[in-house]
Amino acid sequence: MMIRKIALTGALLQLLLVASASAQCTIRLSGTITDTETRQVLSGASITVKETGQAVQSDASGAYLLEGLCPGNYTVRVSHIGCVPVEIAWQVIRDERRNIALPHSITRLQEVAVTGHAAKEVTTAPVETLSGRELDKTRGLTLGDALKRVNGVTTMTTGPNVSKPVINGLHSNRILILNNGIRQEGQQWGSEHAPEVDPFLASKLIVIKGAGSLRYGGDAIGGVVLAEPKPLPVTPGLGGEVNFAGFSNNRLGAVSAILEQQVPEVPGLSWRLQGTVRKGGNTRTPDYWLDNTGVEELNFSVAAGWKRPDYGVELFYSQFNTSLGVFEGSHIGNRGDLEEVIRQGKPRPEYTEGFSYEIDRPYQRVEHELFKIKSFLNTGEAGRLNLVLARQFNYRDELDRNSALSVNQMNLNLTTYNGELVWDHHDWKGLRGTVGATGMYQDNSYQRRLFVPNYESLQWGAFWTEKWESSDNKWLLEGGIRYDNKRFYNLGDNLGEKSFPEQDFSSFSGSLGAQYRILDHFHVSLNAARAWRAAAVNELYATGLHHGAAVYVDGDPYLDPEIASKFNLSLHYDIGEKLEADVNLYYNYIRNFIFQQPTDSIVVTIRGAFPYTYFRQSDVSMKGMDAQLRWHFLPKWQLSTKASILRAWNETDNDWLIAMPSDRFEHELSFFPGNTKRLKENYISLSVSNVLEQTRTPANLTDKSDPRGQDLMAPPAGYTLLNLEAGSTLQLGGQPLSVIIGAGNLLNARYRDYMNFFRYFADEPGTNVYLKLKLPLQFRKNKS
Amino acid sequence: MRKTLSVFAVMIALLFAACKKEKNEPQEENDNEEITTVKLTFTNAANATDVVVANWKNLGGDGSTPVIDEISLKANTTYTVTTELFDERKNPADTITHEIEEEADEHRIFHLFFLNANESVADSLSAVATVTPLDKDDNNLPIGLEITLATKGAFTGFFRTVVRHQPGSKDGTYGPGSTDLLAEFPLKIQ
Repeated sequence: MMIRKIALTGALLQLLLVASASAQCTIRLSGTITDTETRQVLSGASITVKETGQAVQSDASGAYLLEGLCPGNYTVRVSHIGCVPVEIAWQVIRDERRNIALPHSITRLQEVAVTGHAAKEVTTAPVETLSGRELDKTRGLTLGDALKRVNGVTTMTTGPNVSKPVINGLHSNRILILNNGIRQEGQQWGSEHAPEVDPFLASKLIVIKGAGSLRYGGDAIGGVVLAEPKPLPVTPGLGGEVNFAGFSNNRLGAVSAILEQQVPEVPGLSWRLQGTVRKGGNTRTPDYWLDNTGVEELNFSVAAGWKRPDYGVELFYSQFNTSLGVFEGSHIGNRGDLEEVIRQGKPRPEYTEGFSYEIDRPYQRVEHELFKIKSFLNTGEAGRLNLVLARQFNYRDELDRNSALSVNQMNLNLTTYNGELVWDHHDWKGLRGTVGATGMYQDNSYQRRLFVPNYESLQWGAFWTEKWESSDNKWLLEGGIRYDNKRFYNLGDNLGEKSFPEQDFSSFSGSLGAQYRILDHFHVSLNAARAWRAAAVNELYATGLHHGAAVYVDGDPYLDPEIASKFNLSLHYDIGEKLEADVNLYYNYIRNFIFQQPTDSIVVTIRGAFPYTYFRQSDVSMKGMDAQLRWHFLPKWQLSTKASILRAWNETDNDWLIAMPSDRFEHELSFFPGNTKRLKENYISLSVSNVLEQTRTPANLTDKSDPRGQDLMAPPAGYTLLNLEAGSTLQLGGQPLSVIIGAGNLLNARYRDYMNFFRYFADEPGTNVYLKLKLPLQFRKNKS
Repeated sequence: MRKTLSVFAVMIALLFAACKKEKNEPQEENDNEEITTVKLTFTNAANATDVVVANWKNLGGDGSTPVIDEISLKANTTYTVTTELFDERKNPADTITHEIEEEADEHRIFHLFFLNANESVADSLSAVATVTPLDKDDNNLPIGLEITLATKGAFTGFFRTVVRHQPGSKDGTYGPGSTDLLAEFPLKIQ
């Protein structure tokens, strides 16, 4: 009796808890039911979702359609007259088409075959997801580096430890990062400010390229990155996972553990504890060490959820703490010194001495805290109301190289409150949609050195999106509209009695998309979006010397908002395991694109003369292509190829845009030897990544033939890296231990990357051998 | 059920308690030292009453236009030169020179001559005058806060004072470390 009760509550919980993973309970499952023996379609078969009680029947052509599901695990029961009903465990993440082959005269239940595939696109905008093995391969890396596995995503880095994602050439404030559903709000404007997100917390990383994601904010003109944790557990018992990653180059070790439980005694109550420790020392390039490039990170999170059939609440608290050493030879603070380092082609010997875990000045210390309350209420059959409230604290200390003379510290303190009220409506005449409003308040203060002023900011928006799918699954149409307002105020009270004008921006954004399934395995999508982004605080109000870059930066408080018109055309061909091909072509025209313009003028300071740079606007166009192919060309061999090409042109100046990623290609050959008794899911793969030299940089203001353009030095040469990796899963005391071992930059190639600010001073890291282990833990006693 | 709720309430309370209650502290005074002024005093070694004082002042901070005096010296004359650094935004003005004296083994002050403004160190001219440091640190390496400067012929160009910060790598040369301060004055020797 007890067990049954638990099972029942478990099933209920399953539905409710997974529902909270994503607010969108609008997933649809569809496909055709056939007879395994006769291959004929089965009409009138009934399909029941045990957890929701939803039941549908297949039509005359054997097609079935289940709608209004939330992400999660379901038990789908399929029955047909004269058959013993069968049950299929089905993990639902997004819209899916799966065909079910039902043995008409059932003798063995195991013969039920579910084929088909998940529709890759949740929207008509290009979406890519890293999860499972692909995500395991990135364990131990920072969020930015992990996302590099996604085609079209590159990174902008400041040395070995700080990396930020760049989607199709756009980064920082143009990319929205959602950490567990909340807009990550740190000092994301600085190139040396990496997102304060622990990737170990996520069970999947989703990248939405392009501007179509109105739900998350109209300002995401570059795209959206979602770091999503697993839903809280729904089956009673204690479980968890331990991850370990070790890297040879900087002797970095990372350990992350999760412990979670659905409390058996309390229906509806689940909790999770998660923690990560990461520590690395100095990084080594092929020829020398980079002193003071260590990193220390300590993160943890606590989550608890309590759900009833029609309402539920979830609490989440996380803390991200890191200390990042900044390579001593990079903290220049004087233009002459910078030019001297560039002339020498390598850092001075006193900065390249050897290995140490010690972090000394200059360094950064960052703490990020997130507290979130999420709740939902079912509004009858019609839909579901979701309320999310969150608060974030972001503390950042930047300590320059210590000297009796320097102004050597900047402390930034940003507090953010977010609120979001969203109503998801279930299927209504083929339409599924979401309507909602969001609000955000921010308060920033600094101490010591001034770079961005004290300010307060208030932002609110309202949106409405709808999606329609034809009943034959051929067409998917979607569209949405959003209105945003953003205001900066209280900018007084700054050092030197500097005062800045207030600003108030507002506008509409919208998107429209269509997808047509030409064949079952081949579809084409077209998406058009207009997005809008108000200038960020540094673009408006920055003032002062940027120590790392050795330039003087001036904001412009009268910048107009950026308006992006983006068009995506994507083709997707997918015949399951055998072959998958994707091509995404995009054209993005951005009016009033904001960027930092180098100039010939200099600002004279007590540290010498510095080039003056300022934020300005131009109309720019960005067109490009991301393409990938995965081909299982022989039973045990797979080839995958990715290409990413971008052309970014400044229409106003009739010249190239500065700081844009160059073309890159990646090829990977994998061999799957097959399972042995003890080793399963084995693979070995060799990959070649090829990054071309960036030849498209803006011309020198005075000398057009100068290869350096407006930069201090010409873009570095292209490079090719070789990487080798092997993985396996072995049984360890009844638990499957997954092992990945590999080496990056196998040949210890010496190279520099155009998107790394350190290209002026130092080479990129040399060979890096790594080992990654993952051990899922199950302590369930009640196997009901 | 009541127990459930109380457990839940305790959890919420714990979570809130775990959050920082720290509010933004009120804006502190800038307690970092910022150099606003470099003062050079040239005293004619042969005539103690012949003193030339030149200031490089930037009270408005980075980005504002500094006030820079022109240095006018006599040809074929030996001067004793002292370099002083101040933070004149503080009242009374803070003398930062002491900190260099305290960290003498990490600092070295250079006085260089250039034909044009903002030239590379490699282009500094040695034929304009002879500079001899008078002070030494614990490692017997020159500091440069006090020097003698023996001018040669007539010259019009620039005089640069550079404070190099060379922790652990000071070897008497310009190369190691980084620049803490660089003030350039127009110079006329006649």
